[in-house]
Amino acid sequence: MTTTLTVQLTLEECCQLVEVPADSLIEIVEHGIVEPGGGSPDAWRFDDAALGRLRQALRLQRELELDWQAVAVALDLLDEVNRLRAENERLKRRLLRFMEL
Amino acid sequence: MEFKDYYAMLGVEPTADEKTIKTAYRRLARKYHPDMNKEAGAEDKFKEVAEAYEVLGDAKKRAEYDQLRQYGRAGENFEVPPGWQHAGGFGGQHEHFGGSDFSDFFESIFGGQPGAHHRARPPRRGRDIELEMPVFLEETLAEQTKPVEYVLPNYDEHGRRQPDQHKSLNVKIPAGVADGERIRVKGQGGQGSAGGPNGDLYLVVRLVPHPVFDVDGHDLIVTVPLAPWEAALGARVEVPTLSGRINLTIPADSQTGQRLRIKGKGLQSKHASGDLYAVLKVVMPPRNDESARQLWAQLRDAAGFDPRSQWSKQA
Repeated sequence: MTTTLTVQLTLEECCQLVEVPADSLIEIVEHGIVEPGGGSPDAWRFDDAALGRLRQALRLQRELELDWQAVAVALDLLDEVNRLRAENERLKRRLLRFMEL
Repeated sequence: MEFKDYYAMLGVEPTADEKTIKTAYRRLARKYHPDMNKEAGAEDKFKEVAEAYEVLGDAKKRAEYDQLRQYGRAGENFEVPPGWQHAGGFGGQHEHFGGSDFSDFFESIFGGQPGAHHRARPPRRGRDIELEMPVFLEETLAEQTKPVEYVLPNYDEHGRRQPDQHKSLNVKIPAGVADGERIRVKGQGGQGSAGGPNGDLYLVVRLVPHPVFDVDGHDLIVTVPLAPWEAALGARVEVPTLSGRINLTIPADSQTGQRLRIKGKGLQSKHASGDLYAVLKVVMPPRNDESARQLWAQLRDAAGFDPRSQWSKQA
């Protein structure tokens, strides 16, 4: 039996997990790509959603050779696309409920 | 092992210069990147493109590959010629050690030379694995234990690919999970190497579309068909909820599209419980016999109702 956990990572732990130096992670946060809780880098806490987003950002940066500003734009647009897709899906289903008998 | 034509994978000529190769890679990488393209097959295509560029984008590797090309042709069986030695030397030197998605073909040329060099390897944490987990709406109401089965890529101490490891676990899904929520299962990801810890498993919750209920945040929506006379006169109808049926009072003079709130019968979250909305939909009988037709005619003459009175003014 496996239990589930909530993730609260410090800057250092987060850097180890995703294998980036601290100054890169600070730069990523400065671009608003992830928003850790806590005011200063010492107090930052990254949750599991931030970790997932960070990994996605690193993939885009490495694999598409983007700079951080471009990564931030790409992620914002991907979020928007996903949100619109989900909404479109939901509205289509709602509409179908009224069309079908 | 199949010979890989990296030039064909990038759609460039074998004589292409660095810049052409880079441009081709960037274009294809953008097109097939799994974050940008959710279509089936895109991820595999991206891996091929990345592997091709790993070789052709590096002058040394490209030169080695060009030498080997004289021995093989795309899609045909290929063996590394005897005595072939990767110029890079040490085994597993390339940075993808312990998590490479590259093909056997790539590994046999640029990968490790097992046994040739034993170097102390620093302990390395295994990869985190992310999986989507379908969850039925009914399953979000209370804590659940769900079986999860997945396949982990497996590597030996030299970073060489071994047969995949099949895993099956029971995972506790807390009550009130939402679509897109991530559940972390510690230590159940990729295997660590040289004594490093295992990676974690992340399960991303995907709520399965329900045949009757639609989800809107924490609220649920159910469409309730009504006969015209039920809408006109009011009625009591049995309505399904996620936790059994209830009786719902339909007020007289109800309309299609009208929403009736059933408090607390939506999805449960950690902080609040959503509501169920019954959306009314007036449905005509599929056919009317002679007596019904006469009753409709009486209604037409008595009701004095024009549903298009607003509409016709606006056109």
